[in-house]
Amino acid sequence: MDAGRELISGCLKHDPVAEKKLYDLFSGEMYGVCLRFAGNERDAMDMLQIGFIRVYHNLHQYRFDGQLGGWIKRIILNTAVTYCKRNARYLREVELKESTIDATFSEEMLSILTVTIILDIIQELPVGYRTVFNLYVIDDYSHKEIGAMLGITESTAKSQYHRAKVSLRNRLKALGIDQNSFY
Amino acid sequence: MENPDELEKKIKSVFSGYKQEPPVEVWENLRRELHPEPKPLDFRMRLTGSTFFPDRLGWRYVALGGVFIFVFLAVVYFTAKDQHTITGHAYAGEARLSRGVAVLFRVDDRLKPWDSVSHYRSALIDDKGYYKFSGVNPGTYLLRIAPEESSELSKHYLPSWFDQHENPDSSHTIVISADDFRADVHLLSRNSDFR
Repeated sequence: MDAGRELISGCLKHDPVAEKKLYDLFSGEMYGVCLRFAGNERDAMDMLQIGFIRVYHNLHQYRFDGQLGGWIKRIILNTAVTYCKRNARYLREVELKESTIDATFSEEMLSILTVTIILDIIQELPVGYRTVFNLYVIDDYSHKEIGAMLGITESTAKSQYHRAKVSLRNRLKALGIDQNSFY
Repeated sequence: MENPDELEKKIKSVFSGYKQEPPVEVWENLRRELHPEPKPLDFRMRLTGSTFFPDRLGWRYVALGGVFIFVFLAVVYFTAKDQHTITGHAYAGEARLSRGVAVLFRVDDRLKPWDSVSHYRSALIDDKGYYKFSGVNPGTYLLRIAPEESSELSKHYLPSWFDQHENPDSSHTIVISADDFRADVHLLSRNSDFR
């Protein structure tokens, strides 16, 4: 039996040591996912906790037909999306105030963008923009898939993405990180 | 994603393989949820129904049901304890009376039985001459047996009081206190030759 199977077997037997080991292996990456979707650290912690509970409860369904990390990430991501969907009204009610993309970014300017800065800006986005932007840009879901996940139409998903993009750029500009501000 | 711009490429690359150690309290909460610590038993818990019945059965309802059944049985027991039966056979001559009515009268004043009687209960006499009064409360009673009016026997036998008396004034009273009572009644003949 390889280490992965042994670990899963231990978790299925509710062995605390195996459960902690599984958590230690994947919690860092999964917390990173949750931070992208959450508006703050507290929400990210809740998402991670709920997500890992689902992982342990559904571990018997894992068929060893793919990477365990990928399987866990899908669960965490679904948990995060469900968590965001609690604020379902956001998808219709948030009005776009920014309507133009007038910020441009050189390679040099992009290089100063750290994960912390990007994370802060993404977390400041309205929850609808943030969810769609994350799923489309970082997690590679199509607008059709995003629509199905969030219970909205494909065109609404596209519109949300576009608005998120505008909002993100304007926020970066406000921080002085754009071509015009840099020189 | 179709045609990502430079900023989107940058964001995607930044988050590719991004890890952030979660606060320790996440694991602590998770551990508590996966392995809840048993609550310490205090004095009250040891004495509750949970000790004897699993909570999922709703021990309160089980206990309440038990109390209800106990009270019900106690009421039935004490009610039945104070009630008795009066049974017996009615005879017409040597044979048993095949049809008739037994009537029980309650006597309130034992010194003047007939002045203070009230109808208590009636019972049919079966074809073997048997009658039965159940659930009779303690007290003093007079018993009257009458053959069915339309029967042949009514032409030869008089309605009679326990025990073989034509009039209630001279009849015996039946006193019910702690035991059941058996009273066989022999009907008086209208004609002393007809026995």
